Amino acid sequence: MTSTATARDQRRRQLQLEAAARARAVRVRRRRRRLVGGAVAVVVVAVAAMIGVAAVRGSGSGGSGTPTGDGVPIAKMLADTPQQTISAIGLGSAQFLPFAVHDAPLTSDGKPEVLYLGADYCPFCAAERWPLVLALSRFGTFTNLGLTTSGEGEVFAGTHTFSFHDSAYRSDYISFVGRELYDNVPISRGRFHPLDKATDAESALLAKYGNAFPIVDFGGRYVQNKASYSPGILKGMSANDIAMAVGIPQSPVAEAIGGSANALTAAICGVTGGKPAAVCTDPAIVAALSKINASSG
Amino acid sequence: MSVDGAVPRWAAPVTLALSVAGLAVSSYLTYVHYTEPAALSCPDTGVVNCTKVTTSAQSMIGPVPVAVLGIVFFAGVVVLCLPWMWRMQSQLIRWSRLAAVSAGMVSVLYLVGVEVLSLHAICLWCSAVHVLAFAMFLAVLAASTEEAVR
Repeated sequence: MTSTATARDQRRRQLQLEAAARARAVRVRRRRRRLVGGAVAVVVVAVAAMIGVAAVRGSGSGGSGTPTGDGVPIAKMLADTPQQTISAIGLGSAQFLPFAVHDAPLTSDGKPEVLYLGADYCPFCAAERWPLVLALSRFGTFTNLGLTTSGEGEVFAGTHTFSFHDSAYRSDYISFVGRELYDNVPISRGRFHPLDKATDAESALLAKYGNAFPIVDFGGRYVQNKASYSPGILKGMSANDIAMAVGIPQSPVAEAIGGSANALTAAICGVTGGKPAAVCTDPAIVAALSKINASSG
Repeated sequence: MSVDGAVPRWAAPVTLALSVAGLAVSSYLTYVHYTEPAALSCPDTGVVNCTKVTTSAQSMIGPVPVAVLGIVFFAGVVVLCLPWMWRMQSQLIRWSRLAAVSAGMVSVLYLVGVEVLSLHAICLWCSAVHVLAFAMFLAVLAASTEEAVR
């Protein structure tokens, strides 16, 4: 009788222990679910809030170093400058002209390639992009082109200009490759974020012609390895101001940009075989190409 | 599942695997930081732009690259997540492990904030580290909950 009661007590205690263990397991599961679920929710809400704030601010809020405006309308203003206005400038106040080289032909898409290597921060690149865009606009059209300014902390800081980062250009006569190897936001003094990557062959060209920005290679036949004129001429002017000033005869900006554009146009005509004739037979271009070829020996 | 005070069986292998993976990615980011940042195997156009993130001013905390801090973090967590460390019944280790992964999670939220709000660019390799740190945080939290309820 007594032993039966003891066995019953033991069985009851066993059942109580098992029930307690099951209850504890349920508590563990609930607590874990609450904690892990809460943590996931906090992280998801935090990340979603940051993405939301970024979206509200918009991508054009600056600080990223990428181009900060649409350069296509400005390029169109340049291209619409009357041909005779630019032609009348001749070489204007251009100080440095392209020179002839004897490298392997530079081509892409079956056309002579014009290769530009520079950097958004570089003030001399800022200056050179203006005549280059004007010259290229005589042979084709930019369908995508950014605006930027040269880097703060550099000489001629904040010079308004184009950026060839992510630019797109169409022409029946030439291919254009424009690479901005660094942006204009300093990491530290004199150091900027990498932007576009140059190929090994492009890096070799850069090294060969002085390892300094900008460099423009015209089909392996001509090279411009410094700014044609001083960026100081553009000081304090907006992109719109500069584009408008190019159309004002005898203005310093027109003399510098128009004259340099004629020299760069002549170098391009040198690799397209004089095409298109409407551009390349312009007396100012013919004279500029003669001068470039003569001075290159 | 353990309700008898033992550490869950999955805890050690899962957290060790996550922390070793985090250590490997952090080591790669550190190697690239000190060699050629532009050589990072990652697209560099548009929103996804590893180079822009890893060469930004925010990629350094004082003189120390964030990638190096990632190595220090994951190396510490690897040690704390070794199987014999999980088997030890020390409260100090349990709380150290929780504190470490929580600090890691706070750092991840800060770094994601920098990418999204300041740089407007996402680095895929950094995101891999962030996901691993988040998974590590959840795994340690879940395992520690089981340890705590005894």
